[in-house]
Amino acid sequence: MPEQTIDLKKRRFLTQATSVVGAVGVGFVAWPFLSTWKPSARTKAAGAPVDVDISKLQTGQLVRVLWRKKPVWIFKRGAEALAALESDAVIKNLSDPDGSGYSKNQQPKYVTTSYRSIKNKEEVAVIVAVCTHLGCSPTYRPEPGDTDLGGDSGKGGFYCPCHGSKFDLAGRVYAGVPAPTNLVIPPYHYVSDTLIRIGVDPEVS
Amino acid sequence: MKNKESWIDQRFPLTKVWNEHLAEYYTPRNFNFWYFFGSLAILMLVMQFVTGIFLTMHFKPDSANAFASVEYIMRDVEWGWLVRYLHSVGASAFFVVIYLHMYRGLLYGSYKGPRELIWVLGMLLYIALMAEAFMGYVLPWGQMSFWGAQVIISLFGSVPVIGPDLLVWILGDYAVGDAALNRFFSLHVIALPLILVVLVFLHIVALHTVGSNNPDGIEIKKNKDKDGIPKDGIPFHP
Repeated sequence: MPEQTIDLKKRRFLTQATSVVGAVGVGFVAWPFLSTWKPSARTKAAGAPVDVDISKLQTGQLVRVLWRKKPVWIFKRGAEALAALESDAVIKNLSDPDGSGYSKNQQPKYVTTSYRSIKNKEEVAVIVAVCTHLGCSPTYRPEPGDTDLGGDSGKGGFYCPCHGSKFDLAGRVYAGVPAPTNLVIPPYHYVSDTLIRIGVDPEVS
Repeated sequence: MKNKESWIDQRFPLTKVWNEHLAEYYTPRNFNFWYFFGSLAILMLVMQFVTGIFLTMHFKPDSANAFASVEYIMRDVEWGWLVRYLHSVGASAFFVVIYLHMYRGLLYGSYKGPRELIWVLGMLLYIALMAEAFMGYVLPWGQMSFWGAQVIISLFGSVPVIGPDLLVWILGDYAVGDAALNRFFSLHVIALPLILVVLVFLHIVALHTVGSNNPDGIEIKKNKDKDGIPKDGIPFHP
């Protein structure tokens, strides 16, 4: 039998090649198992878009619908409330009034900056009713002068009873409250003048 | 790295166990393919554990919901069909492997002294495995499951004197129903797997104490070189 020497280089290469093949195999095996944790077909079906008829929505009125198991507010703001959203009295209280800072990803690109609604439908707001602090649902305080929302100088908005976060009537967060960002605007569009579909972007955004 | 190993070894016999049971565990060099099925059985056990854990995440052990939850796994859960088939077909494959493993034992006399305990532990494993498989078969709560449960549990009814009462006690009801399904689920996912793992551990400890048999029936531990290493053995098989 000829004398054998151990080729360490070859041995190292074979060890590494085997390890790589093994790691790829583990990945292929793990993928289906980890995938079973993804939302199932049933869950996805339950998360389908929601249609809301707003033909009977009065100014100042707010309706709540469930979309993907989260409450969503749809409410109509009057001219006075819209004007307040652009006034210094409101804007000076806000932490990110034009949604360009921390709140950059809290709304789709097609909503307007201060009203946070779709163009030509400024008065109707669609907002996910979940506080960006720890997930409570803030209360609707549309009347100006609410004691929790700045007292006599306040212009109305939302107040979270859990930890006192405040938002204006466009869901923009006040400065100095626990919530870090503006409330989320879901993707939505108008199917007709009075029908909103929540969960789907407009076709041309 | 060297320091770390010794740090652990001072507190836990990691290197010792690794060497004794894997790296320096000597197996006869005249093994043939019949000797693969022990380690393949461990592979099947691991696969049943992994797939079973993931199935339990979606299954509902309730006579009203069980069948629907199995349909849900098959149709709605991503890759759920694959995980379930791996588990159910895997159970059958497990038995194929176990039967070949047992046949090897019979063929080469692996049950004879000094390996009697390995055989006895193996038989206990076989019984526990059949119970495990039977209860898993009941869980989908289809026709085959229900009548399978009805027939197999009726066997206990033929025990003299206490049979009928034993039957009601096992079922927790006067017929196969929700109570039986619920307790079978618990036994299937917790109690019997634990028993199986303990028995496998004992089976392997007993095997590694006396060493493997081989087709020629040579005890390799009786023919050692001056370092105490069996001359007819190879470490870290395969």
